[in-house]
Amino acid sequence: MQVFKAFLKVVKKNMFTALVFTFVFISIAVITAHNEDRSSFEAVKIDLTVFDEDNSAESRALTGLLSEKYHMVDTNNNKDDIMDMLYYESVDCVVIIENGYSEKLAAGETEGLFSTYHMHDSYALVIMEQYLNDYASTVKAYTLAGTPLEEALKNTAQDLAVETEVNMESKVSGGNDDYFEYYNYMPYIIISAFLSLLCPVLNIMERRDLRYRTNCSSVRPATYTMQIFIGCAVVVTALWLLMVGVGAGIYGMASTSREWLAVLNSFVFVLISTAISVLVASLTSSKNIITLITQALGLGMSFFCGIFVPQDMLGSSVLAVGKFFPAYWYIRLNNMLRGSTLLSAEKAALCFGIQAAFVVAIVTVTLLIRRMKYNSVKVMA
Amino acid sequence: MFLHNLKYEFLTAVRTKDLLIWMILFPIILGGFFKFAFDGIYEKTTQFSTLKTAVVDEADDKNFRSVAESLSAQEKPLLDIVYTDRDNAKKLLNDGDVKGIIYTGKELSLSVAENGIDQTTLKFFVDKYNLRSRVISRAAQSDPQSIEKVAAALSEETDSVREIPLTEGNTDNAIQYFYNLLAMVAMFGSMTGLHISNVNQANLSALGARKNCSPTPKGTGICAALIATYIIEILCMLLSVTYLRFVLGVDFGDKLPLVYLSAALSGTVGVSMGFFIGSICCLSENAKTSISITGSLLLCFLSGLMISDMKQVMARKLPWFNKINPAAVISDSFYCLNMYSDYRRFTEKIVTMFILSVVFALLGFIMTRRKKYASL
Amino acid sequence: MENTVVKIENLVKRYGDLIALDHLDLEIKKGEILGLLGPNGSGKTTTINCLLSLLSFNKGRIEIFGREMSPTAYDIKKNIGIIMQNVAVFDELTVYENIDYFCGLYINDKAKRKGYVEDAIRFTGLEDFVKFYPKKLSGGLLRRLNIACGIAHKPELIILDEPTVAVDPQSRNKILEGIQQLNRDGATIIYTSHYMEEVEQICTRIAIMDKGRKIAEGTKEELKRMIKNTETLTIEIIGLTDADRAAVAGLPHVYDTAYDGSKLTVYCSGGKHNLIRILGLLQEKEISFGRVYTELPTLNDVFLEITGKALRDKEE
Repeated sequence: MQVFKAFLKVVKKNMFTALVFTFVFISIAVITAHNEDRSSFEAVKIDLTVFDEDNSAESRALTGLLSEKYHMVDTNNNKDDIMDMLYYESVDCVVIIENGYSEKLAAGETEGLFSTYHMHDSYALVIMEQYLNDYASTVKAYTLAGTPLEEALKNTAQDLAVETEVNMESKVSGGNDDYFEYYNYMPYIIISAFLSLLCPVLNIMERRDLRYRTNCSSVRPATYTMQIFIGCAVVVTALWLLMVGVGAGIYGMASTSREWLAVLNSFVFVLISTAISVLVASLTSSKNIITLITQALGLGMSFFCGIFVPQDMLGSSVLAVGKFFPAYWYIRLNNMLRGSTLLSAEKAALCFGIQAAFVVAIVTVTLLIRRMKYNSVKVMA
Repeated sequence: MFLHNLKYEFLTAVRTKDLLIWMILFPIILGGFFKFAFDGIYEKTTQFSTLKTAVVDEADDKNFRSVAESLSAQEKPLLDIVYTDRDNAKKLLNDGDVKGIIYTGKELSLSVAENGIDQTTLKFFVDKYNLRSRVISRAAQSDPQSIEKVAAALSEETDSVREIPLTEGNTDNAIQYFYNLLAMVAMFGSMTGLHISNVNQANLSALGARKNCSPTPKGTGICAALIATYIIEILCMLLSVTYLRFVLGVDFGDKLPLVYLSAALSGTVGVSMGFFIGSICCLSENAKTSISITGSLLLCFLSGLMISDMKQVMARKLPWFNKINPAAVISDSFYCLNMYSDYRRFTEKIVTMFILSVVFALLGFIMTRRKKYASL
Repeated sequence: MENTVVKIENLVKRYGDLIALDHLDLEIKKGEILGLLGPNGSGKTTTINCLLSLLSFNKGRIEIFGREMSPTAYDIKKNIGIIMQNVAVFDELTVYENIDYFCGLYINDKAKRKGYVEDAIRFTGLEDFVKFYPKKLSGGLLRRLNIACGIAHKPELIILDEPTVAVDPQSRNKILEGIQQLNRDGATIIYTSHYMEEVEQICTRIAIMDKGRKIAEGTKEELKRMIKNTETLTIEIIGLTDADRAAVAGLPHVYDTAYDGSKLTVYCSGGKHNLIRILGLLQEKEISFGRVYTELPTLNDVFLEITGKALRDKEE
């Protein structure tokens, strides 16, 4: 097991790098998993500032309503401060109740009641606008029905307070959602950390002079390759266990079968990433090029496959490209497991199957390349 | 002496091909990826598609049916409705054939199986419908004659909100990703800064030892290396901006020359940072490389490269950090240029970059100042 | 003392508990080629690095050209040429550019530099390779480039730290001749090596170091005189009895004998006519013998005897 031992020693030498990578990536995953408020049905917490320029009973009624429903923030009424607050999202939306609001409302006019400031389009803004429009049109409707303004306001407030009931049909609790969110970032961590650890180590082991020397020794090439393989397996498993361990440490051990499937999913991705690392190491030995590939592949795949931006936000053409990356299938499965998309046995099997196919395909390509590359020295790939 | 050094520093830098390739290819590849990915997002969020929905009309709600009919008559209908029974609806939902089930009754209720934009759109629809029916029924109680007027008022397109633009710049959120991409390219410039101390320190390389034996003062050699690296990195940054602006068509607002200025300065920040990391004496070259890569990634992450609202989260939790995080300062400088019409914030960012650059370089100089080594 | 080029006094360098240089004194006169000999780890390279002010040292004083050496003594550095053990050239620059670059660190004047660079190229025989990148050069050429980079500025003091490691005999001879040529042109040279024959061939004075100390110094003749062995005699004899061997060992000036069944080796120290005396004894005892060889001590013997024969495997 000389080769294996040497492999581990080289890994140990390069461990610092790998640990720095793993640590940074895991902290990225943990930070994001905690900060996610991807809100679809849960009430969105909107930070709101209202400038009441009308200052009438009617406008105060609305302000009161808004402050019950949303979180009010004080902002100085000058453009610079507003921009700063909006920019740093200390406030999501600034609403101005325009002068003449009460008269317009009484007259049944809806146009020009409010103004808003905002920096960029956001979900909060859409909800706000929708709410104000509903409010205005409802009040108008009541006044048209001859309801006195004061009562119309009261009715409107009541009507708007009723929330539509939404059932998550067949929503199986996948388990702790943070857990899946953590696993959502796994592909990025795994592929980046593996490429940046395994490629340099493999390159050292494959260095031409070392390779020649081992070829001259009595170690059979197949044995050599096998020992390298075992070395990779040990290192990769250790790193993976570390990642799973950190997940378990923060979010608890996997308790539901879905959580266990998420763990299994990440293991399949570990196999893919290992194969990719070996492939990249066979292609180039330039550190800089490896870094380029690591970053481009890690970030690119993450954007295309829905790791950083959720899959349902991505356009169909992007997803079409994403399908050619293994992470797409990983994320699809993870989304099913967490319950944000439907889980069915066939679909899950498909995701696993395609990932497995990726492993086979990458390994085949790697073997071919290595055969061509080392042909002159008759090295078993 | 200095020019001689500069000339050769330049030559070596230009001939370190793989590093140069990666400095240039990286923004091109990722920029292309981003462009492709975010154009896709735009397409998805602005054009909604028709949603297949099951309706379980047990209450035989005529009102709903008429509304639904009028909806379907539109050119690009919001809903594609299938009337069915409870069990079948659930089956359809679970098979993924419909996006949601609407149950009629006193009020509409909604069942969905997933969490996503389509489902949110469905909820908006049901909300609106319920509100409408509530108002109409209440109005009917007080004045049955007014129902038509009321209904008309409720169906009218209401536009009570006027948006006051705060900026003349490009308000597309996706541009943030390109700002951060530029910040990342600048931060990765630290990789080129690393080598400066490497080839000038006697304890790091044989070349460094040889240089230390020459009568050229160490400061001169390092200065020349630093300046040559600045120039190369600045060129890379300018190239990146040009590529993003003119090849990918990313809209940086109307102050393009200042965008170039900002990009150039950000290049020096990255190089100085790398020079600083390279000067840390007790670490191996590999360790330094990994620190500069992961450090850059972490800083970029915290400035929102991967998750766009990360910067806002940081602004809330660690406001001071955003002000000194080089990646955040760089991306903010582009942002300020685009968003604000006055130059106060932009100037602030530019000054911060300049200070960061100088401080990193000075720290590097201080740490490499040592002329004798305890061991080689 | 004006012709003392380098003066090292009482130099001490410690790495933690390890004493790398132990009160070393060394003086090099103008026009000398000083050979610095010593086993691996004896402190040769450390001495040179201290001399160049690359390494800090704990105690002692170093003067070059009569002035104290320091990292900022640029006028001293200007006249030193250094050829390191490790090849220190830019992979990204061609042969010509490398030489020009390093020469440019010493010589500002462009026209003058051009001449110097060309001299160096001619001197090292790299004319056909000026446009080559170092990666394309063979080991010997690379070493020659390494040398060219160190001597292009025509320094007065040249320090060569094992410049001929891994070089073929042709290249090595070229290098050695070059060094002697430089010396004839007026340069003082410090030369470290493990190759005894090289040192013997070119050095005018030799210092032997071990364990951070200078243990012997002098011309090669002086050094050879310092050791016990002055002559080694080898005689082919079959079937020598122990008594006869003892008789040989009892002769004057003989301090040791060895016998392997077919060859008797006799080590003599001083004295003349050793061979005659031994042959006389053999004749007297009617012992028949075959061929007889006699060898004078080489520097190798000096080196081995002074530093001990135990294998050195400490890394420098």
